Amino acid sequence: MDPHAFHHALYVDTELCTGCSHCMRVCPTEAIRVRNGIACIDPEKCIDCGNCYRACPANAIAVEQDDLEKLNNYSVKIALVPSVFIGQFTEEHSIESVYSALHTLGFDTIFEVENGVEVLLEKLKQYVWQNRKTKPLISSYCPAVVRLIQVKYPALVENIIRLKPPQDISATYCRQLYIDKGFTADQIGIFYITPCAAKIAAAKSPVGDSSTILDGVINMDYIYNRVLQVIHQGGSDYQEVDVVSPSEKGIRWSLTRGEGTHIDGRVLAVDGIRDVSNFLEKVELGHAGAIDFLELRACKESCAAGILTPGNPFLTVENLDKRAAKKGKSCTVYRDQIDTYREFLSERIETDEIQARPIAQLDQNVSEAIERLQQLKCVLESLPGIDCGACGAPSCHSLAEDVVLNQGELSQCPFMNIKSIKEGRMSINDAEEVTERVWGKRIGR
Amino acid sequence: MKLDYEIKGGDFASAGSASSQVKKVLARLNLDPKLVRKTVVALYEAEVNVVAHAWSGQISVDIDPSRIIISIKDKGPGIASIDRAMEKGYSTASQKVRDMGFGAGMGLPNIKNNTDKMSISSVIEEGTHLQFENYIR
Repeated sequence: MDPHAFHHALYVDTELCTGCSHCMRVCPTEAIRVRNGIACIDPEKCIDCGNCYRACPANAIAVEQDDLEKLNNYSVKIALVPSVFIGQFTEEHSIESVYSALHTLGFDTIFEVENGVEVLLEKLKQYVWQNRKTKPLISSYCPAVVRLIQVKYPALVENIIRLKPPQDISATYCRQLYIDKGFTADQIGIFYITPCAAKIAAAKSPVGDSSTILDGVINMDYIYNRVLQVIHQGGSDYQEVDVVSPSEKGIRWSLTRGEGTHIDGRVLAVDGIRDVSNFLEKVELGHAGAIDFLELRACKESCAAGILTPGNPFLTVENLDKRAAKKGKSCTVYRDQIDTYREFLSERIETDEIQARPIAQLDQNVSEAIERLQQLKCVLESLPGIDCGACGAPSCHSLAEDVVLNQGELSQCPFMNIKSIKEGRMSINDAEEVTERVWGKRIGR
Repeated sequence: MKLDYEIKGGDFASAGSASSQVKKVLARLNLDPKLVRKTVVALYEAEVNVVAHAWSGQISVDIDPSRIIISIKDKGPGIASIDRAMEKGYSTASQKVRDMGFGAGMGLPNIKNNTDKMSISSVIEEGTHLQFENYIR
């Protein structure tokens, strides 16, 4: 496998997929085609944003995950819990009861991801100041956005801030903490509870960093169910629950404007993958003016709406706002041990260079690409231009692209077929065969 | 390969649509992303100039494997002093245009900064012809 290849956490469950094409129509990078009645995701184009997962009526878009069984491979079992997980629970369930249920499920240590924000924010402010000539600096927080820029806005790759996200900082901290307690690195298992697929993909092949620092990723919807089971089946008898709550800033970090509010200068926060994409178009054209810091999140309401979060995003935001307000009022400033590792973590906070992986080019060679582009223009002019999707591609434009790249044929278009039949160049049977190659046998099944 | 676009004077809402389309075309050609960005930034400035000052304009883009040539011809008032228009911060834009966030007087210098070759000629009360080139590799 190409070591630079994207790892993907989303895949199509071919048993469940009905080839209904809902996913194909919502993919922001046009990565999906229907072939033989099944959705196929192009790994080069997919950014793991999860739009397809949300749109699928058949639950056929699956998300890979690690099993809790994997905990048994380690002597120290650490759960990295993001604040949006705590935000799934209303006041009916105390934070202590959630922690305690996680202990019952096998974790020795529960560490809230956003405790790492304390270290990150200091470095981030420094970074933004030192690189203030680069406009805009773009947050690397959301891995789906980072991948979107890599594939669709290659000119902006160098604007991405090369600092690790809070979960990586917290993981580095937890591992070092236990190494200092006398454990070896491979005895320590760090499991991140993820709100989305993009963060799984990033954990398995982090962008701009060659080593993974998480040992496993547990999906939030799964662990949510397990936690509530424990609570409802009489609760946990786990006695010592040590809650180290992140700061007010940390609690709101993963929400929209969670990062942006703390940065000086002209700061904009955009959420939702379509809006992010549209905004980046403007930025690439030099149309948005000089922006100092751009906070971009693939989901509307940011991580509160991650595809693996079971709760309603607005209620999650409300819960977290309440928790942050409470934390803000509290006079006791609890300085966690992470502070004693500040220097150690700061030295390890930067990522390697982030590579562009453009998907738009029609050929590596410029002359060849110009040739193909001319063909594409011709093909496109012959298509009906209604983006109906009946060819198994999301738009006439994407079919034209498939045709010039020899990944599709013009006869996939039913309008073209009617014309061909009328002009005697194709038989009805041939047309039926082409349609079945795209959609499978759908009528009279 | 040649591409043509029309610009309507005064249509600020649509300013940038040609550069946006040209950007999509250039992205197809496996060019250096920086070259693409420079080219579209220059074209966007030129488009806004036509929208802000002229009555109508025509863009023609010519791409071959060695260079991108873009020509923008407009029908409009023309530029009285090209030397002054090339100065950073100089602008003849009306207050109305400035209020819309355009007309900061950075247009021509910004185009020059983002292109390898640029030439401009103008006839008062007839129009302006701007042409620039960016070399591929």
